[in-house]
Amino acid sequence: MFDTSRPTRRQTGSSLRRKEARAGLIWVQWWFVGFLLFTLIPICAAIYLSFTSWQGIGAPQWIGIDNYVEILSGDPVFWKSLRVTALYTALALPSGLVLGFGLAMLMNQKLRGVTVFRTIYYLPSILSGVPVLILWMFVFNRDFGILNWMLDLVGIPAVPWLNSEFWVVPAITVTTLWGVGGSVIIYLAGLQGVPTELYEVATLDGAGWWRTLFTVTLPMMSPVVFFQLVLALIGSLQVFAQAYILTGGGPNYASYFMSLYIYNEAFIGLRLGYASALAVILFILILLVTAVVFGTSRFWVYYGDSVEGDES
Amino acid sequence: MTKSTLTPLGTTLLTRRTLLTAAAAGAVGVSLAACAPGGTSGTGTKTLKLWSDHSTEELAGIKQVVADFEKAQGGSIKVEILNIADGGQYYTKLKTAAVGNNLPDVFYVRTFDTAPFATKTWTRPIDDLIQRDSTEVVPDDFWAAQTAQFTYEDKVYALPYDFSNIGVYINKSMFEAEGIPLPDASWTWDDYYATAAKFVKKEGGKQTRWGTTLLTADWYMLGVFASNGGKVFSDDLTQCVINSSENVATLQAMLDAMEAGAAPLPNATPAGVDPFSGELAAMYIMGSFATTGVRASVDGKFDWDVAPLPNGSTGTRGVSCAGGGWSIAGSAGDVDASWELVKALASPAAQEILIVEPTRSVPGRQSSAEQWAEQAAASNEPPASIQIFVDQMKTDAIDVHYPTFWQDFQTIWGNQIGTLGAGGEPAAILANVQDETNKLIARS
Amino acid sequence: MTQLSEGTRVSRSAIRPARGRRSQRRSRTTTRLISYALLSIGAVAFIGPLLWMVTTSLKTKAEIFSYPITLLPAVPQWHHYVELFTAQPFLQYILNTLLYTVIGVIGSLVGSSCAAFAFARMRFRLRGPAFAVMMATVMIPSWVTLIPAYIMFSRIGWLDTYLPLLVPAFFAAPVNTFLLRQFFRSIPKEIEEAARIDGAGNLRFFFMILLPLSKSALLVIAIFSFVFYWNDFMGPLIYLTSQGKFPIQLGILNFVGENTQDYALMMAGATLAILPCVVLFFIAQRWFIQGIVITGVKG
Repeated sequence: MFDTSRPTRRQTGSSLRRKEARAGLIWVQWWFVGFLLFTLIPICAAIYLSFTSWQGIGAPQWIGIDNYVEILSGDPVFWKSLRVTALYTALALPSGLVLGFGLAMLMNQKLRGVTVFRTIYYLPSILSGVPVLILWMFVFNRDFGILNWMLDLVGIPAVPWLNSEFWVVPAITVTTLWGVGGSVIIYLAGLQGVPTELYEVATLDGAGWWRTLFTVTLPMMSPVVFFQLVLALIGSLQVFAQAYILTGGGPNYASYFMSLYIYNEAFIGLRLGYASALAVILFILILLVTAVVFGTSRFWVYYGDSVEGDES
Repeated sequence: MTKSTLTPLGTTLLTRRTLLTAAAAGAVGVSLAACAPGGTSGTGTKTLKLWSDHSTEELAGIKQVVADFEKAQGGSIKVEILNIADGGQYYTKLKTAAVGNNLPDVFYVRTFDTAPFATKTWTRPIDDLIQRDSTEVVPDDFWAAQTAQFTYEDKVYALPYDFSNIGVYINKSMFEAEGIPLPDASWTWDDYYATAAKFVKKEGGKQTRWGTTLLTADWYMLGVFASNGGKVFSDDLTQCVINSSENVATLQAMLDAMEAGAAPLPNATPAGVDPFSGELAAMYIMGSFATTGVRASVDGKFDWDVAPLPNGSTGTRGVSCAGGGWSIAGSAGDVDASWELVKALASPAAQEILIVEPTRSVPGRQSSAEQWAEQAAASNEPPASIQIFVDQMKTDAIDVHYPTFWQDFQTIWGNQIGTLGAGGEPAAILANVQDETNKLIARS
Repeated sequence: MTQLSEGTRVSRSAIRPARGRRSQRRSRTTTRLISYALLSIGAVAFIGPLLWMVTTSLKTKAEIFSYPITLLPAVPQWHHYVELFTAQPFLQYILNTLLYTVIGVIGSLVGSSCAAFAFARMRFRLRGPAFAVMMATVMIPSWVTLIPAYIMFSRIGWLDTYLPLLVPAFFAAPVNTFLLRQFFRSIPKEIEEAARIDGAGNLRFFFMILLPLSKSALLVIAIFSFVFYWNDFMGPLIYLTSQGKFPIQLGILNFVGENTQDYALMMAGATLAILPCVVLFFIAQRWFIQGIVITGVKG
């Protein structure tokens, strides 16, 4: 009877938008319920705890902002920890991006056996946990480890990797870079999604390899790079396992990342209020940094002609 | 309705049907995962939960003891064992459960945990139970030092499992090859370092042999400091007083040894890797719990034995000991049943199965320790002088109670001592340890 | 479909041919050779520790701790792999891990795709803030939410089950949602408009068109979720209290303790644990590439 296959004029415009908005809300409500329950409640509890002093028994004692005051004015370990975390992020983030992207570009060619390479580079990223870190202990051991053994073959004196305040963060960065394979896969997927005609046009235009990289590849890959950047940033600021198992935060707090500091305060010292306050501060920092990245994304992330123009 | 010109090519459509099937499968799976098997195996059977952090090998022994216990109880008590070998993970889980009020009935604790757990009522004092059943438990059979370590404010909180101390493993073949006499029980730290220096070997600028490995473990160092007259904690266990001239001297001696090449850096060897069995060091400071491991790694490559620790400037040895035991949770439902289990785990029969047989660490019972030493001697395997571990505990054990802030101290100590030999100065290290520890004490 | 950031200048391309044929081929071969060289060197560094793990699982205790380092075992101790199953209920662990992982992956796919769809294609007022809040939850260090979450789940009575870990999976992991949202946003608007003109509502568009087009992205999410759940041990560690429900990652922890350390068995367990992921990746790799190729729209 009615031809409903075409939207009537009345349905276009604002009322269509409203319908879409409602549909969107229903979709999202489902997610929101679960999110509220399982994620938001513990987070709110943690924020509440940050204003208390609680040793795990009895009830938490409200102490207002005392924890924050102590952290910011009376805790040199906090600042050291912050510095160390920032240093690690500054090292790991760019090197991870460059390495991952570079490897993806290398493997994006029609090389024979590229499948084997892909698997080799990807495998380490799916290994995790205690066995891997034990492996790294063997590798980095100053007197009996493989790395120094190899350096010795080339005549370089042994480096006290995990015992030197200077080398410990680079050493941990290496363990993180070993897992770069996951991002390589994502970059590969993105690279293969770049339309070949663009490359053809570039070649016709006389662009060399370098120019093509900057005018075709990178802009087309920018959403993927953005995604990886945000994730890597959030991950780097929360690095934990390597320091926990390999160094315990030392030497002299040179690898005492914020996550480790929070863990120690929470589970070793059972100073749960203080630990929560530390976590809130870390969270705010991560939020700020991520917001900056999101803010600048407008200038360098390129979504093509799809749904650009929408907010965030 | 006109057909969309954009039907996806070829491949499987994610139709509504497939999605619903997936959702159904998911729901079934989730409910399967939710179904908790187990629970009571019949009315009248009590189920006890036992948590420990031993490795698979030791766990086999524990399961044996538990099986015997269940049989002895005629099936009225069933025990569920949960084991997580990694110490760090074990404590994370234990503490989370404690804060969430979900502790198991019986769990493994170390002497380090007595004070912190007792103050939080996570463990239950068992003096009354020990008194009541003293003929069965024979409390005097336990090491006095260990009972003291399991005591907090005059109440006992656990029955022992094992009690370990540290000795010096000696590569006899290497000593003989170099013509150096084996150490005797009266040697001092100076003798020790001097001996170690004799083994240094360098080949073309790279060191290929060390005299000894140094151990910097926190609880072990308590004894070393004590042997040289230094204290680590105040007598009332409320402060850290580690920064004293005697302690600085002790650390300085270690640093000198490292700089002379007699010893490699601390923390240079990851847990379990020992340069001793690799014939890279003539001596190896390690615990009584390592004898089986060393035996397996050395595998007859060379002749070896153990020697007692050197004497300090006070003329005594300063042997620190630590160990583990079994506690009843403060929130345990059935205290009597839990107590039966604890008694069974700490009984001479259990000690036989768990520690004497495999000659692992030193048993928590003195009577079992005698058997342990006999067994080790009879087996004709190295180390021949394994008795010294038992003797040291009898004569030279230092009297120490681990304070409530012990784990904080451990973290700080580990952090600071790692710099020794990599630029850290003893005086600065000790000053830092003291200040930081006292700071955390004030914050708690 | 898209524009270069620099305009094309036709005249130039007409006048100057790109490069001589032969020099083109030569430079391509050089590039290939360099690529091979670089990739191979890197491959050694990347695969090295893995090979070490496998060889360690086959060594005797004496060989593991010997120095100079013995690279290969004299006699491969294959029986370690058999011992795995007798020392612990390893088969049970594998089944547990499988169940946990599969359900987790399904949950991730379902939850993330729905949420990503809403965030990417629908317009509603709270969209921006909601997305920001969701991303923000990733920024909280997990240690402080662990205890409140544990207490919450213990009150509900979900302890000693996988529920605290699986149910949240169905409610959109933020990272997966982010990835899918990016992907959905890059699908051209014309497709959606054409679908709407054909009368497709949101549901039809989602199931019949968007999801099939996003197969490669969904596959990526599936792989990453699989790896995440397969390797997850912190969650099971905290919530499980029955040894029989352990996943593999918790099981292999038990081989190395304070008094006895069996590194060989631990590495054998770790090797077994990584095998399914390897197999999965090998298989998925091909579909993955196929998927991208087939989605001709992007081409």
